[in-house]
Amino acid sequence: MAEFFKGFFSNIAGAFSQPHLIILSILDIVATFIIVYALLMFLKRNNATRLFRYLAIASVVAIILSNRPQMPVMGKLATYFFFVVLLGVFILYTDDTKRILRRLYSSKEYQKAYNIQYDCSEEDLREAISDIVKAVQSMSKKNTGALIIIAPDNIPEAIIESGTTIDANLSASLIECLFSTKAPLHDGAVFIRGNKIMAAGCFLPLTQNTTLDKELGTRHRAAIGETEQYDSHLAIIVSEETGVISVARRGEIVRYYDSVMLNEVLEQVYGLKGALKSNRK
Amino acid sequence: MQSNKVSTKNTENSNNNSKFKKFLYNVFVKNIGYKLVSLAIAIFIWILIVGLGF
Repeated sequence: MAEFFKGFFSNIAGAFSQPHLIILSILDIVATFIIVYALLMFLKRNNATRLFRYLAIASVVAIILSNRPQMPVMGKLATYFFFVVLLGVFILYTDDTKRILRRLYSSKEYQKAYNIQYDCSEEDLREAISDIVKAVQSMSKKNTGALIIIAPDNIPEAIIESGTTIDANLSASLIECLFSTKAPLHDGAVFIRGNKIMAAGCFLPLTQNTTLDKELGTRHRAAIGETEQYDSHLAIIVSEETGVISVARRGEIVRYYDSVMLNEVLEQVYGLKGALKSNRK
Repeated sequence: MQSNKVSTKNTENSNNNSKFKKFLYNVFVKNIGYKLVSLAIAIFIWILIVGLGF
């Protein structure tokens, strides 16, 4: 036992015996810290910090047992168990894993999407924005529930197929018509790209975020779910109960929008010059 | 003209300052408990692995 501890401490002392080894050891600890912290925050966001305990125990057992030549089976099992538990965490939280991976490679993608070239003139886009604002305001006054997704880039086919393709020129009255409670398409989301209404009555993925306000209904959850998955998309929601206008972007919802704020955010998403300038300030 | 230039620079400086303050806050204050626990675990794992002679 004494020999074990003697060897243990001499190994640690060896890691600090030369200046370059000290730097490497510090880098090693910092890299491990970053990995542990990222994993801990991932689990915290998913309200699963309890799982972290099992992961920590599994990793310590795996480290200790994998160094025991006398127990080769247990050593291998413990090592595999650790990796299986780690893999299980990422499978269990597939949506978050996908979102994180998508953000890793497309952190600036949504900004590129805002500078996209549309087939229509700037004037047409400004007219489209004013029509959207007008329709949203009108529906807010009448307490008509609405969910509008502004998608500057491609709209996923699966979502379009869940609704009805329209591909019509945008107008305030058409938007209001689609969300009229007696219309068959009023229950889903309307997708807008440029000055065209691409589809209506589309079903969106609901967010799994459990920390959201309980006041937010299915329509708001669908908007958050959609913008969590597609960074470039912007969702405008009109509450059926209160008429409050909310905007969701990149998985975050901001409530109580007025026409000026809505106009500003739409100009930004449409990549119009004035809005881009103000955004750069 | 001159005063305009100065005011722009001041605005840029204050923007940079607030960004720097936000960065410091994010690194040293935000989630400090989780960061300390992660650091302790990282050091523990490092000692365990190096001590056992991997």
